[in-house]
Amino acid sequence: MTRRESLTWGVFGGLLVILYLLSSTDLIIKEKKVEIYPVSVVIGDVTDDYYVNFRKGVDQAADEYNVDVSFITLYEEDDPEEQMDLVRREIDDGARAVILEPLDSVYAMQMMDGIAYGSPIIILGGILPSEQVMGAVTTDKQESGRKLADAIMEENTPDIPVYVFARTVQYGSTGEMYRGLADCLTENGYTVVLCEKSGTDTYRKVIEGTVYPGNGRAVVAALDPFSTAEAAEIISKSPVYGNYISGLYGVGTLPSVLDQMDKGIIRGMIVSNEFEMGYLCVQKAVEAIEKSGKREQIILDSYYIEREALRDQAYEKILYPID
Amino acid sequence: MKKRYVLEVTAAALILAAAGFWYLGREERLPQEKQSLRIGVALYRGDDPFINNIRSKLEEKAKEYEKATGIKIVLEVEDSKDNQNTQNSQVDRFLSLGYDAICVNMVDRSVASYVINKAMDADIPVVFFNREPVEEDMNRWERLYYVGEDAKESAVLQGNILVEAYKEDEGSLDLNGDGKVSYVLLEGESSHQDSLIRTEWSVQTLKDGGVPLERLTGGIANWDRSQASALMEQWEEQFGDSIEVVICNNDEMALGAADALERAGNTRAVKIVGIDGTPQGIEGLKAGKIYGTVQCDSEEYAEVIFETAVAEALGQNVQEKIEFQNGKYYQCRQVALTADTLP
Repeated sequence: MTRRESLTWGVFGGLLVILYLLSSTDLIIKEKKVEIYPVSVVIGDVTDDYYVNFRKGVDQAADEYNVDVSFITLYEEDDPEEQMDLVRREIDDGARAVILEPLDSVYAMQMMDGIAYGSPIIILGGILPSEQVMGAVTTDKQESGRKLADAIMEENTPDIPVYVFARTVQYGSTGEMYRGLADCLTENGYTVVLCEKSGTDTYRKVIEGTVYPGNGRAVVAALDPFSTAEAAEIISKSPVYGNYISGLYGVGTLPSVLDQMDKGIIRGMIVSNEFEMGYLCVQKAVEAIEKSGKREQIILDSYYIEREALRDQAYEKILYPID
Repeated sequence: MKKRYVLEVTAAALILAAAGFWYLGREERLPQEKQSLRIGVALYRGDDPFINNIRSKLEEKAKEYEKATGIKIVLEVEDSKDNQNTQNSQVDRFLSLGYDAICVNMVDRSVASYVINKAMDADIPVVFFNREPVEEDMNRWERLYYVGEDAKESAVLQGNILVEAYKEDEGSLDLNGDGKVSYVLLEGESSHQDSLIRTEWSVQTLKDGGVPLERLTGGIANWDRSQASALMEQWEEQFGDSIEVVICNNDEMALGAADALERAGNTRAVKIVGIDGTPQGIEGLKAGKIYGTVQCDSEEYAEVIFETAVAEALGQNVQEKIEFQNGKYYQCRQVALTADTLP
């Protein structure tokens, strides 16, 4: 073999080595490492059944921002202490941020004042004055309550009492909505009867009561998706109740509830863009992790809709987001 | 003397070092106690009531387990919306995020090899349920399991509901008294392993029970209430009062048939039977919409799926906890129900 041949073979060999290094190792071309952020969403319910559209938004943002989401539900209903324990557990378990829908904002604040959780918290609801809270996404609940009151007043008269169904109005966003609704109705001479759920048949008994002699017609305003779904089911399954309930008004974008509105069981509902809420919560969480965004509260609009709006393009995206 | 001393010290140092390395290696080999587990669940369709019921039970089991053991369970449930490609992506995501186990309700049971290949590469166990992969696929790895129900047993129990009704009172099935029981049949997807078996054995049980049968027609309604309702509406127009029995492969289709008869104003005591015993099916039974169903023990169903996934994820011996047939298959208990035998 001549010297020239040896040199050529040597060059080929070298080329092969370089090609190997280029294609099979990251010695020359560094592969971009994607960091995945673990984020936990701690909701204020024992099931995620009423968070369908919200979850779609969360999942969409999780895909776009490389977030690994853990969706955490409570063991027991209305247990703020357990909820904050779960927040701590999630952060101890490696969550880089937590999206929290506080059951009791006051209690959540107390806990945040006493404990440094170590990861930023994004609130699904009104922002809390804590350094650990790096953002919030919400709708104006009092305004939603007032919108619902306006709709009720437009179609009913003050002589018909308004039964308000809610799991609890002691704290949380339902409480704010109740204050907006009740203030507006009572100012205009309406009688507001609060019916907080205390047992499995609380709502059934109230609706049944309207049928008894001496009692007249009534309006039902349900302030959370769970109460709306239950009230609609009770009324839809009876051939009688519908005659005594002047109108059922509710909240939420749950497909089964929208179906009940389509059937005419629910007169009207307050809805908001839950998909966007979910999306924005994750986006704010990523910003907080990367320390790139500012601390802010994002307030989304809420809308009062009736049956006709179900097929209105303007509401289609809000009510039936594509995942 | 000095040389020997140096050798002895060196040997002792080597032994000590070896022992140290062995001990350190042993520490690494000891299984670390896991404080949290991530289990991915991929459903073929989240709006199927039977599957949705299993999903709810799985979530309950996860919470109960968390409470009892203190081990956090992250149960991520994904709906494939009847699309195998979507399901494949969901499984990819579970695997790339390092889930400890996955539970898969295949959209298309004949293409489970994709999921199996990926899971084997990632060394993550798979518990299939409701839609059984083909045997060749199931035999490819020891960390694959299937939880379902015995389709033949469901069908025999369903058939016996009608046989008993006939024995008690022939007129309860033979409504027009022509000596024949005329039936229509609503079947599930043709690709589902249970569909054909349920159909075959339900009819066979009726024949074996001495019921004189006449098949009017049958059709595939894909387990779906509205599709069943549409088919039944056509048949109601076509056969009218000749229809005496409606045999359905599941409760949803049975409810769909009942909806169609109700819409048509048919008040004859047409006997409709389903399978699954979903909450909606039981409601239908109570309301008299359907005559009978075969209830699968959904508690047991979910428990076996969950326990298998957890045991595998924790590196425990699954066979010691659950008795699988051939080390892979588990069939849940079933019971026949009518309005009279409801618990």
